[in-house]
Amino acid sequence: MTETPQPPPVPEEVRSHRAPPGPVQRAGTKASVGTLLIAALAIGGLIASWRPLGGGGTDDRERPFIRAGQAGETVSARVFDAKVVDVRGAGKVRLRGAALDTGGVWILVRTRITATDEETSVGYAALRDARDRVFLASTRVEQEMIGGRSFQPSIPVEGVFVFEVPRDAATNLTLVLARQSIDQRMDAVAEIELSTYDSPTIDKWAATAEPVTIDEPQVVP
Amino acid sequence: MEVAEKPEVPPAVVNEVNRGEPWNVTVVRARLLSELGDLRLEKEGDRWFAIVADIEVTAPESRNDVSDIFSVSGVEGLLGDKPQHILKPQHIVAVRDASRVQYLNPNMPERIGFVWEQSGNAPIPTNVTITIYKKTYRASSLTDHMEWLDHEPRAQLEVPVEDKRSP
Repeated sequence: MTETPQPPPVPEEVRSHRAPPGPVQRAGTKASVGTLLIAALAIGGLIASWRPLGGGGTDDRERPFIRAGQAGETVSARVFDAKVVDVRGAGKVRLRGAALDTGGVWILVRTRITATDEETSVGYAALRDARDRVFLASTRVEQEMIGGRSFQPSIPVEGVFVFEVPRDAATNLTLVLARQSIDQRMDAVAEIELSTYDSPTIDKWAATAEPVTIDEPQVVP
Repeated sequence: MEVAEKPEVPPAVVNEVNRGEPWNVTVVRARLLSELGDLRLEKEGDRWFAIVADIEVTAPESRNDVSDIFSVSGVEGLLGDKPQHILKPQHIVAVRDASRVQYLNPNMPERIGFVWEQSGNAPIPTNVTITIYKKTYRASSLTDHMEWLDHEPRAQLEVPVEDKRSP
């Protein structure tokens, strides 16, 4: 009788040489999971409560491109050029027959606007005073130079921007003009420093009984 | 678990300035009127309910959110939009010339009428509770831009309603 050779026995597969975790190791694993959980919650809490300081610098990074000048100079706001021609003050302005008074003083800034390359409009007009207070063009009067009026390239138009400001602000003002009405970030903005006036001059403007009529814009040579 | 209570809103006084940002507010009076300049009631038999207040913008720029200054309670049947948590006035007019107010300029106090139409079927109010709101200038956690946010009550007062309707 011959013996048939048997194949060598297959060694038992060994999955791990480690002993199964004991009670101490199981406690350690649970502690690690707990630590991770607490860390995740802490990081989440920090993110949720994070408030950027000083605007996070975004306002500064996205600030408009200021083109500055003086009254009488032509200042570019990229899509239009602006030149302050004249500044007047008044206690009252006349609009369609009605005389409108003010708690401060009316400031009328006659400005020449010339679109540069394409039809455009002026969406934003404001005065900024020496204390950095910003006064938007008055909505009590019809502002014919703002919003709806379109300016054609190379055709200068002169008209008046009308503002109400406190008397103490009127001595030192800067006209700010831009194409966009609400958001001027990362766009060109013209800032034109007006002449300074002393307080007696402002008081004289405010006390003038005769209302100043707001002229309609006109094309100029 | 302990329930958090709503913080109590500090009191304000009629005809005394309530200072804060972005407005200083002085509530002057509350009135019922049958006519109000060139304003027209939507429905015959209705009446106007108006709060008159002196507003001074304390923020450094002109503001167009005058309709956020107040909320009123205790007056039934007021008409108007309620897009958020307060019933905004239907009309905001300058007392000086009855012109519609869109913007108020910084440090230029103005006497303003905040006007709602009240249904003629609603009871005649004798008192109104007015809540004055505030905002805080801070960086938005959404956009990172500095904005006036956190529209919250800052003061509350009870004002008698004068019935000035024409007979």
